[in-house]
Amino acid sequence: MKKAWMSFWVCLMIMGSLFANGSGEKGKTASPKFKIAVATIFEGENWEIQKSYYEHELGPTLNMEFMFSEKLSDANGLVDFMEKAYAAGCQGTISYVTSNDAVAQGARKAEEWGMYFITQNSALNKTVAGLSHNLGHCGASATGMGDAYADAFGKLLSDGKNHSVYIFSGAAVGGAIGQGAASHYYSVYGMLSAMQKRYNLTYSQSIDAIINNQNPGEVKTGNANVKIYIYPGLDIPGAIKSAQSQFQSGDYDIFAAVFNYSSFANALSGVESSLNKDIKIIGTASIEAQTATGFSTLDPTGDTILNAAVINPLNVANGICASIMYNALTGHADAMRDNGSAVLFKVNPWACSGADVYKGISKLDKSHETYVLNSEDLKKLLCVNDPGVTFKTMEKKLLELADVNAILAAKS
Amino acid sequence: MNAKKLKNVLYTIAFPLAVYAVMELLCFCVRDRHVLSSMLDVQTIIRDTGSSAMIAFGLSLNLSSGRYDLSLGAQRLAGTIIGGVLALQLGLSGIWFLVFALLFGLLFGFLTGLAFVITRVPPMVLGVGIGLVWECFPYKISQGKGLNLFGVTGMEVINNTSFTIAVVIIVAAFIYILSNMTKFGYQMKAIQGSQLISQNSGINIFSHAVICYTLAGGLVCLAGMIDTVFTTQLTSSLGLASSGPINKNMFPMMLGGFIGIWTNQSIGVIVASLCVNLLSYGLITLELSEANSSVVNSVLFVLFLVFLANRYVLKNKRMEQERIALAKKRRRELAEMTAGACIW
Repeated sequence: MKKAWMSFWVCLMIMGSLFANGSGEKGKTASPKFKIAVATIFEGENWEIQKSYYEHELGPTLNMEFMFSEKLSDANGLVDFMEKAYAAGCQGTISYVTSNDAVAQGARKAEEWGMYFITQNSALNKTVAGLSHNLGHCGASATGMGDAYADAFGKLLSDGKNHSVYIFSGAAVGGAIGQGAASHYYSVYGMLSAMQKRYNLTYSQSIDAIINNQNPGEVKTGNANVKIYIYPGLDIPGAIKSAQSQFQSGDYDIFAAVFNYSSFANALSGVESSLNKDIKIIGTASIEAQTATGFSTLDPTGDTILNAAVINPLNVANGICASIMYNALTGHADAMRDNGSAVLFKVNPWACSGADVYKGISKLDKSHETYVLNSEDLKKLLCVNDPGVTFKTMEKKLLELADVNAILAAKS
Repeated sequence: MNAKKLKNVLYTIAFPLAVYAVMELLCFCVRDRHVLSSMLDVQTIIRDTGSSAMIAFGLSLNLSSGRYDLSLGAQRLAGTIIGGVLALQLGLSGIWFLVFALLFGLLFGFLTGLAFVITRVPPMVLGVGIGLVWECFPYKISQGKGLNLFGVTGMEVINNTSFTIAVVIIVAAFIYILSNMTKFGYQMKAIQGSQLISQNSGINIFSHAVICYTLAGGLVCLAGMIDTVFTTQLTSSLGLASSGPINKNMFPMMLGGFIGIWTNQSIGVIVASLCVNLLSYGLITLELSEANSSVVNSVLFVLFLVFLANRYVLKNKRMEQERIALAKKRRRELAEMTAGACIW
């Protein structure tokens, strides 16, 4: 009898604790997190910095959890990942796969599954712009990249002397039509325009045709004292050998790389030692340890390895995309579109003309206080907090973020 | 030096000289430039040849016994990144990076070999699976950042041309001694003939396979670290994207086996690597696009393989025709003798 009573009380206690948990949960009514898939094409330190921003700033602020892909490269990879994401319960996808095909297929699949979709690239895909779940694009501004490179080149070319430039153009070929990387294309466009303006050059072809030439070679500038050599493609070892060979001729004194400038450092240092000649390096960079090293380490001629950079604000596009996604998921998708059509949001990079300027920029994107778009900034972009927020608010914010000095003043 | 040895040396030297002559002529006629225009170019080609030769040695250790290890690229990635990251964290520099890369390469090679002999999975299948696993290790340990040696001091010794030459000579000598002067080398030749017969005659083909895998892993990581010190970074990758640098060195490996007919495998591989690198340098000087350069390299590789498979066809045909001609002549002579005997 005693054992029976003991059993009865134990069962009652167990049932009581279950009910207590249940009612506790009812009382709190925690809102479920939005699950967002992030389809990336990156790996390495840059990507880890961005992932940290997603997980530690965007996630808590926007009540989101993120499902990251491995490095993708084409439309098939994107769609495979989106299928897995959809099966895992994701409600939206932020895609970094920039080809026209990937954008079109991704947007159509997202429409089919009722997922919101936004791409980080610099070109609007008009074929899918009308789909209701396509939230558009956010990427490097064409004029912004060009202006930033023109600014960065400005100081290098401002001494009044003739300079010849070797440009590693990366995936610039086809970048304007979604086949390559738009940021690479517009970076090279900015460089060629800056050179043309500075030296009154007469190119034998249009700048677009020059950039879209798949073969490496010298550009006919119409000025024998100013040479430009372009090496397209992603073959870094080949580009290193080519650059070393061209610089060894003594004709060139500026090296510009739209990505991976650090891979060329040793080869160019060898040329500097051999010719006892300083070679200026300008490249696309981010706020990271490598850029700090570039601006602080000296080459054999006593100059810094990196002389100027165009800094990609790593997390601005991520913050804008996540905010747009949040607005869509909270029922304000129409406010993020222009008369039912997807919008292209443009991120302006910052020109960094030397180590002194970088010292200030390097303090950004390190923590909550220094993120260019931290939780306080993000909350001002949410329709739930301000019903007046539209896509124009996003565009205005991006224009404000083009002024790095204003950002530094605000964050200091 | 006797005449035969001299002939062999000349045949061996002829290959890189011929490639250099052809590329130099093309570059001069088309671009008005030289293939190698400075000492820096020579230093670069020596470094590239050394790295390529080490990868080709690594490939040949298993491939010559019928095992194509598809995880070599992943071993190269894992050993180089993990060894480099560990050396960086310990505050070491210079040659220690090479030592750590070698040790981790040997470790990953050993584990791959062990997996092969325990599971008995076909090498290519095992290579794919275990390669995907090895790629995860450097990704996790470096938090996706890979190995970045930009701005790291004390690495000049590894970039030094004399050092690269010394490493290649040591590796080539090691491979030569291993292949020609040790029991391991004799066993390898026996296994290349027939694994079943070798096993039945008392050779432990499994321990031999493990040793081959181990050494291959060490060699490709040595090459990986030498390349990474020059280019300052090696990015972690997944999905067997790491196999590119290994596959690129199939051509030097196969060509090295052919050139080795006149000397030995070690020298053959080094000479072949030099030939392929001279070709690449020439194509860059000709300002071919990356795609066109790949097409040229691939077509030449396929043509070489076709030649390799059919090089005795013409000789066999000629010998057959000579035999037929001789047989016909003998029959005529016999017929004449018989006819003469009848008359008498």
